[in-house]
Amino acid sequence: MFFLDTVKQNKTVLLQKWVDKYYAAYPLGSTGFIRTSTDRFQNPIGIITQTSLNVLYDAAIGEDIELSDVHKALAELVQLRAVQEMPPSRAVGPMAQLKSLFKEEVFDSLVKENKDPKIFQEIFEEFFTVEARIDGLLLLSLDLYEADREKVFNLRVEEIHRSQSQVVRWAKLREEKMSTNNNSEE
Amino acid sequence: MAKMPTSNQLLAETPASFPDKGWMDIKAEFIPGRYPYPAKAETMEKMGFVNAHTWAPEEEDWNLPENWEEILYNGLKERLEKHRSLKVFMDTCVRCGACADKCHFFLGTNDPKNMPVLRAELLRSIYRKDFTFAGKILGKVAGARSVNKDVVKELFSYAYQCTECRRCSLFCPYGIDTAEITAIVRELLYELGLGINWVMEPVANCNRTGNHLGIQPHAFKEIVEFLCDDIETVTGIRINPPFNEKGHEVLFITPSGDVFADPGIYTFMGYLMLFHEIGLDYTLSTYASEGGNFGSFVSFDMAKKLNAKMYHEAERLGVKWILGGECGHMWRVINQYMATYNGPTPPNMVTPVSPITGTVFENAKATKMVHIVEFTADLIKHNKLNLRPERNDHLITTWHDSCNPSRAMGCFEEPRSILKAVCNNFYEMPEHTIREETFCCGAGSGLNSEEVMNLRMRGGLPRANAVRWVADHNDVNRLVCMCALDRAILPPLMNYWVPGVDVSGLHELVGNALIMKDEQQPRTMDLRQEDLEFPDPEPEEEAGEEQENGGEE
Repeated sequence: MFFLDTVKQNKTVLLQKWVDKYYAAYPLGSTGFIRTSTDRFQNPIGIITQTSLNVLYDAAIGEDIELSDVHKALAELVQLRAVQEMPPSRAVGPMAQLKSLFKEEVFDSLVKENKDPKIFQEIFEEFFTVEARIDGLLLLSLDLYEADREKVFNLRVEEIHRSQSQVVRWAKLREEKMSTNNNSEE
Repeated sequence: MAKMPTSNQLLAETPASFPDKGWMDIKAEFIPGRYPYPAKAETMEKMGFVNAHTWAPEEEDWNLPENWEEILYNGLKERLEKHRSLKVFMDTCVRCGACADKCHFFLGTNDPKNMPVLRAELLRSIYRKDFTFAGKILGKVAGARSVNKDVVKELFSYAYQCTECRRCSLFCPYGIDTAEITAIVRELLYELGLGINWVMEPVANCNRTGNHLGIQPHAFKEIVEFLCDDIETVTGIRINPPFNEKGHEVLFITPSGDVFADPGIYTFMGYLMLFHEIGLDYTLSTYASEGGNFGSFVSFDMAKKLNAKMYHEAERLGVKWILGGECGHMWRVINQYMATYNGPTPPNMVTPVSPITGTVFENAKATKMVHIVEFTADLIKHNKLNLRPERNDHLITTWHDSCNPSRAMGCFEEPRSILKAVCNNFYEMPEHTIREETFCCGAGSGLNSEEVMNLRMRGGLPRANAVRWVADHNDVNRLVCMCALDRAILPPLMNYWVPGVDVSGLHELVGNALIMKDEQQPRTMDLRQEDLEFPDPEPEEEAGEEQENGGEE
């Protein structure tokens, strides 16, 4: 439990670093604000990002969490990024950065410190398991991102339908009336 | 072997420090999804814009008129002389930043230029350079800058990332109204021939035929009759609303979106049912068939021009007063500008008095125009309506204070009193997201074109985020509002952020709950013709119950 214990114990620091990777996509002039405001209604981007990543961090390190909660956290996070004018890689990419964060901040030093082959192997196994979970989350993010983009396109189409619904109804009835008249004339 | 970049390298283009350029030197970007499409030159020409021309936001050259600098200078000079408020707003800001995190666009986009202070600064910097001594001498040091074509582009970009909702002005210690600054920037841009299609097309249509889609009178009438067909299907009662008839007491004007668009049509049906039930002596008009004033998104003059139709028609038809439907910017224009734009009112008009309750609407003395929410709230207060709120029991509602009638008019209690009377399930969104602090729908003031859907989703996030809270905690499934633009803008916003929450106008719920004389009993469906989850009890059953109750007494 060397690797897992360390990432659990250092969650606050590591999570904040991971959150910062997400914030890095926003102009620096405003990252101060999204970092500092703790009001969920005055700072939706900051709070959604922090809340979701808090759950996803635990999911990545294998804590006991309901799958539905993981899905909700991931969906809310990706939903946010999907309308923020970033390329998909930037929108969901920071998920992958948790791997390098764990490697640089925890794994490398653990490997250096522990020469016992047994412990060595344990650290490796734990790290690879966590990596695989992060890969899973990343793949799931891609699906969600795509679904969100499709949704935005659909919203545009639906809006056009909604905005003229009665005019279309009127036009259709006119058309029907005209064809009935034409038929009766024939 | 070629070196593959790592994920860190791919994502490395992130700002690691503050940008090395100041805000004045960072150009506006035109990414599809962020800007509304330009107005057609011919549409603008028809409306009298001499510098109308063809241009595209993404292109380098916007084909500005040759003397564009002169137009801009003279335009600003003229407005500084005309609007003392603008002069005050240009001079007083101390950049305290109180407004910064109050703007839904800043909260949703995190773009620093969407802080109201900086949005205003875009114009203020030009003002300083041309109209203040310090700015002329010290230039950048005094926060002044010369205009160039990139500055014009920047003005366009950020004037159309503001919905003129005025939330920021509520928090400004000086009361600086960014909405007015945005409106004036837009006016200046129109003088340069830079307008947007979503606004200009409806303006031209309203000017020509009276409603925003340019539907001609006969078709307008037929569409209203469809809605009467639908009312008949639900209630068994046939309503034949009068059109353009002289000699009625009241002229009813509502946004034409209520006639053409879902879900506004259900609100319109609610109005007609209410008028029928109380026997209101009213007429509709096909000439003044658009309450919403798209001109107010263009210029004060255009707003005045379109607004004039209301009094013209009131005079022609000889009505005593005007009743106005649920709308947002329509009411900003009426409440704030109408009396000075087109007043005094025609001689045939009088201070509105409710024919049912006798209430005198003293607040409408100047304009002779009453908001339907005030009118209905008054009816309910005096117990003039027979309501069965159980018909709305399938709805768990929350109330969105539409910016204009709430923040600009103080219409907070009336809609809530109606909503509570017609629906048993109502939950407020959290404090600081409602009433005067309400968050904007994210696409008012002409921004609800479908091409800026991404931007709308970002701008509407703070609103949606508060709705999500009550949806998660109180199972809210219906967001009720009193603005036609809200009824157009909020459905996609909800679909994206809070699926499962639908949008209604207030009078749709009134129409559902209203027990009408002679209606077919029991009512089994709502105005959307969806089966009522808790249908009316069978008439005999009800009679039986009454007898039972009577027996107990």
